[in-house]
Amino acid sequence: MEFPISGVIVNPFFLAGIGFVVGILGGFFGVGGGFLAAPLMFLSGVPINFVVGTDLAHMTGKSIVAARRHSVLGHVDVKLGAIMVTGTIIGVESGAQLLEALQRLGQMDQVIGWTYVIILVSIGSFTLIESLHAVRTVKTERISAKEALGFDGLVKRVQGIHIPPMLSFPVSGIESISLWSLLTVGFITGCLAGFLGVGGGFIRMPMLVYGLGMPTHIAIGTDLFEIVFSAGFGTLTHAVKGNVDIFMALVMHTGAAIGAQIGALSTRFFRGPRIRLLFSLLPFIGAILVIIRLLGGGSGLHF
Amino acid sequence: MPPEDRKLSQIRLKRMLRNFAIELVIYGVLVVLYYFLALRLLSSPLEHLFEEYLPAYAVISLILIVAQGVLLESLTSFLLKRLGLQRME
Repeated sequence: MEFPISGVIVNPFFLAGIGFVVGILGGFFGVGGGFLAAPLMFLSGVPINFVVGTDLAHMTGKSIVAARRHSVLGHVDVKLGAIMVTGTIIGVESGAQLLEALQRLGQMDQVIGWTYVIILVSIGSFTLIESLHAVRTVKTERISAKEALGFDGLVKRVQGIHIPPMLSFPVSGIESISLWSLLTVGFITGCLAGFLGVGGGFIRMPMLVYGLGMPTHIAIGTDLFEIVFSAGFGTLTHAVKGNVDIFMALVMHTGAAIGAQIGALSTRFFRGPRIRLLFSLLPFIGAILVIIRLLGGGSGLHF
Repeated sequence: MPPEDRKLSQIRLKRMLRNFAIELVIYGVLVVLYYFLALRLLSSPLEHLFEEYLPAYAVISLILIVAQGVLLESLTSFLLKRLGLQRME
């Protein structure tokens, strides 16, 4: 089937299939899935400039479905998400500007690509070690999975910052936290996402757990809620530049919608530490895909 | 787990998987109909808008993906509810 906007011929069922798999990942882990969707879209012949924008558009729609499902399950802290998204969007723009400034200096693609690999491996390793510890703690100390966090040093520091206004988020179980801490966490994750040219879900979700102390299920739902706005913003900016094939995004989204429902509902069968344990595999998969691109001579990121 | 409970659990799991498969089939049929009756009609107007006026195309694109998100979420939730999948425990 032809997609006249991007000028490619792709099997729509293949696109819906990509959306379905990415939808399950998104609904279950709270990630956008761009690290998987982008290479697959590129391999099926979608021009590079359409890959990122079209994926962001489909991600917006998919996250609406997944966030709504998580909201019904009580996994979305709307108040916290709305505050953080402000910091995230400012961070994304800042990160993207920094990237452009560095790229004007010279051949930064490989440097940024390998930086991304280091960040991914660090996140994956940290989450793996922490979640293994948490799983063991739940078994040996017989505490609830919600309370089992293998590493809470950063949470204590972030929540220990007393710069007013101080806010409470009963849905997330956060009694008191500075507004500036929230905005800073959102800004940092947004900056990394904008700099690396990714959605940021698998940076932000662990930050919500290890930085703010949110329970895993609520971190997933709230992250998806944020992605609706950050990906929506990204869709607009890319579409204005002519980088979005919305027809392709709509087709992908038909698969993503049902995948996201399945992924979101499946979280009911897993406790927080186990979800984090499974999540820790994603950054390693992402790192492998980036390394393959880098060794092939590409930048590994901005397909 | 006592044998009777295990058997009940297996029956519930089979029923759940069967209902999941039914949902996927129904959803697949509805989506194919949606594609032929609605999505294909949008292809030419969207291409025209893309070529003529990008800012309007950007806004319409966002509206379309959000609208489809809401529509498909309602559809999948309806199917989940009708097939009893929301009560999965």
